[in-house]
Amino acid sequence: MNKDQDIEKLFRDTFQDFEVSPPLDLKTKIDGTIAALEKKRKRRFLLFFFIFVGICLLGFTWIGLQFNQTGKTLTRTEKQLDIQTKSEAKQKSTNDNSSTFKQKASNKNQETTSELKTTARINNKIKEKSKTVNPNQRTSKQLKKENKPAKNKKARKERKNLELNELVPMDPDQKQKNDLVDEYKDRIKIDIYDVEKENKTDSLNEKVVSKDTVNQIALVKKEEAQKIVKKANSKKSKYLFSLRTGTGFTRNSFEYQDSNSVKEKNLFQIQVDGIYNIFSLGPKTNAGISTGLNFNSHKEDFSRTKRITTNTFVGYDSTLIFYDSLVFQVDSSGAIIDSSTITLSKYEVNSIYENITSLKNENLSYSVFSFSLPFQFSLSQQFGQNFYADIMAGGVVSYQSVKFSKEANPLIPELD
Amino acid sequence: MITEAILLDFCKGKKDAFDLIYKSYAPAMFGICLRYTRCKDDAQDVLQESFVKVYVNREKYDVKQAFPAWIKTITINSALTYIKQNYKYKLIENELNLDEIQFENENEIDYKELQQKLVNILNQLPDGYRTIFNLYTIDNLTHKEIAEYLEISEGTSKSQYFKAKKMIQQIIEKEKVSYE
Repeated sequence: MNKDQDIEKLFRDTFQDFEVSPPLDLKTKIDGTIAALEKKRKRRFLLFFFIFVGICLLGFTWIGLQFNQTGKTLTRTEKQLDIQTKSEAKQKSTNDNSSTFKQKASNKNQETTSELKTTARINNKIKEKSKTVNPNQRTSKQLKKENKPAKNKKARKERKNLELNELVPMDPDQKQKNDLVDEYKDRIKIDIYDVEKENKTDSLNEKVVSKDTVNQIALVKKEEAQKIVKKANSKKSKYLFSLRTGTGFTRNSFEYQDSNSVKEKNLFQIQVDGIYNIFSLGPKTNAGISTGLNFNSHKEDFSRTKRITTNTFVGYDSTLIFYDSLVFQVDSSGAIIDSSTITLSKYEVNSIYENITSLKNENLSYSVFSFSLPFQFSLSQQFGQNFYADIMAGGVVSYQSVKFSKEANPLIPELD
Repeated sequence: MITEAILLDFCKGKKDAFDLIYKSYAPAMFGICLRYTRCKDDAQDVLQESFVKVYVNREKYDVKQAFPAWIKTITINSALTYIKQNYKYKLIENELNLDEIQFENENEIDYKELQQKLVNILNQLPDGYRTIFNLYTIDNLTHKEIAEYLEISEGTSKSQYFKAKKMIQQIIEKEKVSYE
């Protein structure tokens, strides 16, 4: 037991401050591993970033498409119903069918009876259709009833479903029915005009075509139109923003070689721009934010060969010049005593310089990484029917880094 | 001395702070690695892995927490992971021939040499024995904690520990390593 405790104590005490210096190169290895991990992390971040941006773009595009589809449907419904108001009907029938009215007036005796009979039939059909064909088009009584507070949840839910049905795109059958109704309506409007012109003298008008009935239908339609437009507007306001997106991806890689051997490589470039949101701050006020994203990373490599001519000292040119010299010995009287010839030498040295041409390879490369985020805020206020004031402010946040590297190879003498 | 300011800089990812921490703690951590592994090369691998983990997980470190304990935990965990991955870690009794172990018979050895001797003894132990002996005796973990760490039963941990201690005792008696 004691031995056991001794062993424990031995190891515990001995290793309490056990320190051994690790090899020096281990730190370099750790730094290398950390740098590689950081690089990998950055790459992963960029990958996820672009995937995120891509998903966002697709999502925004999808939302935009949904919004546009709904908008079209609503617009169509509004137009269809708006045109059914009494005043428009009158105006339209007046403008488009004035010639028909004249003809009808001239053939009044023969045609009025049959026309009005037809009108009566159509009127009945419309009444039936307003009740049966289009359940969404309701009478003023129905509307009043619906406007009353629902007594129970079920009734409220049914009413809500009914209202929502108005915003659902029409099926082809429904469209056909509506077209038929429109056609009948146009014909009625013509007849209304006729009736208005002629009802004072023709007693049949009061019997067959009831002006009040048409007015009532027109009134109901107008109310319905107003109600649907109101609903559409309230529905629209739920879409807080509209947006416009665009994206671009370019990858250029081209190389060309001229006298200077210039190569260019555009490695990677991506840009996303035109995310445009409009927020409604009120019935006459809109706020907008427009932003985008631009990421650019490319590297350009220049490789050129320079021809360098230098005047270089190559050595000495030495010349030994020999020349003869005639020597005369002259006495005091001036007579030549002796003459002899001696040979003298002269050594001339000249430095020689030569133009030496050499080729120099130079590699220059620079890599550019840029990231910019433009943004613009706008505020639009409507002051009158055709008078708006827009205020815009914006800026760009950008980051750009350029790294140059120059590498020159040793001189290579040009070979002849 | 590693101050709180250095630790804050380290958490922010400053390289200088990390260098200082490495300089301060690498020897102690390398000692731990040597205790847990079979050889110096393996210890280097574990130390490298440990410091990479320390750097990567720097944001998880709470400055209020004791830094030596935190870094020690990471190193021990790295060592255990390394053992599991590379040593075919098995908690079975190793048929080790004690006669093959050779030590110098010196009656008087200094402290550093004693440390080295003990490391050599630990290195001769089977991986399971060594790991549990290190965790229990030197790093002061309970058998329950060891069992949780190594995903074994508490009884296995105890039996492995006693076998390890017995084997160490035999080695010491055989080689007459003086520790008094």
